[in-house]
Amino acid sequence: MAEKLDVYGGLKMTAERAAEVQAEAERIRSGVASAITPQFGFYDEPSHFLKALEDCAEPGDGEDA
Amino acid sequence: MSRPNRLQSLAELMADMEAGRISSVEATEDMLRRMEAWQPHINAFIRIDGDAAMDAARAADSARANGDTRPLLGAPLAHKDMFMRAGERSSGGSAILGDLEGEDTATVIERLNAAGAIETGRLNMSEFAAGPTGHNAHYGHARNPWNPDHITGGSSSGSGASVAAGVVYGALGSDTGGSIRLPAIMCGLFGLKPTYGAVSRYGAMPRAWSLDTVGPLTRSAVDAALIYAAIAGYDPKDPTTSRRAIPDWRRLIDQPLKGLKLAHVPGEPFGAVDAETHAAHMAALKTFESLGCEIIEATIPDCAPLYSAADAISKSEAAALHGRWMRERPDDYATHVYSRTEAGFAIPATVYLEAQAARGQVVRAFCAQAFAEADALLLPSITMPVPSIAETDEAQPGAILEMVAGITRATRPFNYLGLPGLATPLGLSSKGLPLSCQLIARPFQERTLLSLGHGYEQAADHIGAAPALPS
Repeated sequence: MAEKLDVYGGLKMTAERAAEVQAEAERIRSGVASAITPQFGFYDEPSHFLKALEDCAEPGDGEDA
Repeated sequence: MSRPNRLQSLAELMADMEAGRISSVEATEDMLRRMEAWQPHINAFIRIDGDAAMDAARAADSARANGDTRPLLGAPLAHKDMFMRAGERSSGGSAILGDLEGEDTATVIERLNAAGAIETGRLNMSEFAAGPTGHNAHYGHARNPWNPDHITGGSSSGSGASVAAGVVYGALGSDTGGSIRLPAIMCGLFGLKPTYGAVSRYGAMPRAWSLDTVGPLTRSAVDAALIYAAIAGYDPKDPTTSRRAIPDWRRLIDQPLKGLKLAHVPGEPFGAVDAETHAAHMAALKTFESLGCEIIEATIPDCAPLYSAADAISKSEAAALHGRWMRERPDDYATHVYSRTEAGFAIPATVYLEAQAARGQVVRAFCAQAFAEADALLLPSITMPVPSIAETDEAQPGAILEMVAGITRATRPFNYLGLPGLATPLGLSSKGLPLSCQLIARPFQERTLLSLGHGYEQAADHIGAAPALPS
């Protein structure tokens, strides 16, 4: 059985698995970086996102047509 | 329209109970009988609470005799086993959470109780709500009532299986990357993923708190409206809930469809869909057109980065939630659940924060483009036929990731966007497995989605069809 390393503050995984995990994290990072770039500003989430949802709703959505 | 071999809807049951044609005791006894027959084939329940359900049904009948008219009085429901109840244990589909006793009751359960609903047991689910297939190494896989060799979809696997088999009248699920819509899609049901902030998550087990939503899986859009109206709305215990008013359930299905602009999105935004699903989408668009909808084309931004952003948030938050148990009790996790969460530890904090910070501007841009003219979108829900259990055997971590990405490609971006979605059943394939689409609308426009669903179900003859009990 392959020796397990102690990574991320106590998780145990083989070197091969640690490389897979790093590769997956890199895939996710590059996917985000491909199109998601926040503008400079304050982002006290979730409040800014919730406001964006409210702003994107039509007035009266959920009530009258 | 005559619909032989059709299961009764929750709305029809409530009308029958109001008219005195059936009692809650009779309806609940019927559900328990059906459950006994179906459970060995579909493994929908983690726990069956027959005696408690019958006590509650008798109390409901007594209350009705004394003039109680609550909208779900005596309705036999059951829910994904992830909602806390004071003094009770909920497993979360795991080998860990069952050790913990709830200190309080989840708001959605309190609200269903207040509406008069009763529970017949606790429903199976993917371990810790992690996984789109419905596989569970601890409680056994839930199986699809349309063909038990096939997956139910997950993570609300028991919710999908039980409602489709007609052993409950409706069920709650949760949706972080598709976990309400996928089992609804694969079991031939309506599944409403509400707008982020429309339904309280207080007392629900989190998978990724920035993406989690709670909503119903039902055989009818009216049933989804009944349950959604009961659970939605501001909750001081969940500060992310909106103060927006929630209409009565009757108003949730009465938006006129004449002139409503329903868009399809050319160009396969989530990759090629299988031929039968494509044909079902085209037929559904014709049905909506016959109902008065104006069918238009719309474009949407590239959803692949939205998937990655949802992935970054989901994995980071799940790793934060599970870090202690993953370090101290790794053997209590199924391999595929453990491995699905590991990458969360390797995602840089800046990537998580970028995904969070951009979310508001991304949803504004999406809505401005997609809903420039359209009131709602008709989109693929999954791009492949419902897979078999054998096809989704989760032996290798690498294979799991590929499979998960494939199943959730069309659903997960809408958790990042926080938009409401309604999984809508479109009949059966040539192999007897459900076909579906998802309808997407602007934030808090659940009424548009449910009205579209209700219009469609009145025109389609497959809604509520009953799967055959395996021999």
